[in-house]
Amino acid sequence: MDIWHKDRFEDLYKLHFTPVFRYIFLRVKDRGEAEDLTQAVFVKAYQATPPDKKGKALSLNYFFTIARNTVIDHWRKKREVLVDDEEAVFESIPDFDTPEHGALRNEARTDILSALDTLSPSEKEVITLRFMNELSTKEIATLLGKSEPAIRQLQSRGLRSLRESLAKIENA
Amino acid sequence: MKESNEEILIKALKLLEQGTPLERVLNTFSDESGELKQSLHIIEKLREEAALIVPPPPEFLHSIMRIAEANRIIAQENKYRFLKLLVPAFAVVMVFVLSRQSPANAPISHLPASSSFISPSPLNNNAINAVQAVPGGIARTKIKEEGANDNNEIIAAYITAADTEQTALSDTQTTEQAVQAKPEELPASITNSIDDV
Repeated sequence: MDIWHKDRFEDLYKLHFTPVFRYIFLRVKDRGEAEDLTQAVFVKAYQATPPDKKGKALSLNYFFTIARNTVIDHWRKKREVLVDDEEAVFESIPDFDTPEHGALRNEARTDILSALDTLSPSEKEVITLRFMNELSTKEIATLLGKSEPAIRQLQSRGLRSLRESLAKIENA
Repeated sequence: MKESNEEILIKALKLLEQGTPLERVLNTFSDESGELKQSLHIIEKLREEAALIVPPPPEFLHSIMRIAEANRIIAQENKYRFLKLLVPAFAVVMVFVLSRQSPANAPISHLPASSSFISPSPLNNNAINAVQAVPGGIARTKIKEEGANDNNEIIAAYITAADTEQTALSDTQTTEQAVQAKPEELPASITNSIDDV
């Protein structure tokens, strides 16, 4: 691993670390776990970069793909069950409001995060990727293996559900 | 929000993504601006929330580098360890495979009698056919005598044996013919000697 590669990787780290960390944090809802998993993502990316690809910029989507798989693996291990369906794994991720994650209440938790938990897994993922990680619709479509119109539809439905949930929370 | 409103929101989001200013988007969809404003307000909240999620300090990178470097070294060592195990194992397999292949290619004279039975070569089959063609008793005797070690010797022996048997048969037939022949058909010398007796 030459110095140039290390420098290049440092640039990538500065560029992509925050969105990757945010994405993972919003998934696992624990800062410590999020840090560990983000570290695992960058270690994987660092090791997976072949010498001939040193000059190539690794896209944020590349890091998000690793992050997504890392989170899925993390939940599979945590639940100690074999679940093949990725969607099912994402659904199994507990919300902030579940008793076993009561300790997470110490984290900065707002109405908007509570409202996010009311969305379907697909809607939640699209909304967080689009508006909290600033990925483009095209990038999200590539990452999730869906078409751009499908992603836009999930965005608009997600926003509508968020509006309704926030209205309920405010009324309550 | 109705289906049409959903489509409007999709269009508005598309415009925002393309870099169109918020005011212009709201003017474009002035009839729906109330609902659009609410949605955009939610987007702003989400962005604010994302900004609150502060990543770890930059020192984190150094630990990532150290772990990655350590993992790389371990992986390399494991690769060489694997090669060290693989090479002798491959050599053993090759020796075994070669030793299994050699009997079929080797001349049959170098092998014990049982080997020719396990993997008979075409030449050996011919030898067996030749044995079967020769009268049974002689063939069996010859096989015992020769020990079925050399194809050529076996074939030569059977041919000789067959010739001998054929000659013997011819001699027997000649004698029988002579015995069965009538006295008037016999040569004069023989007839005279019978008379003398």
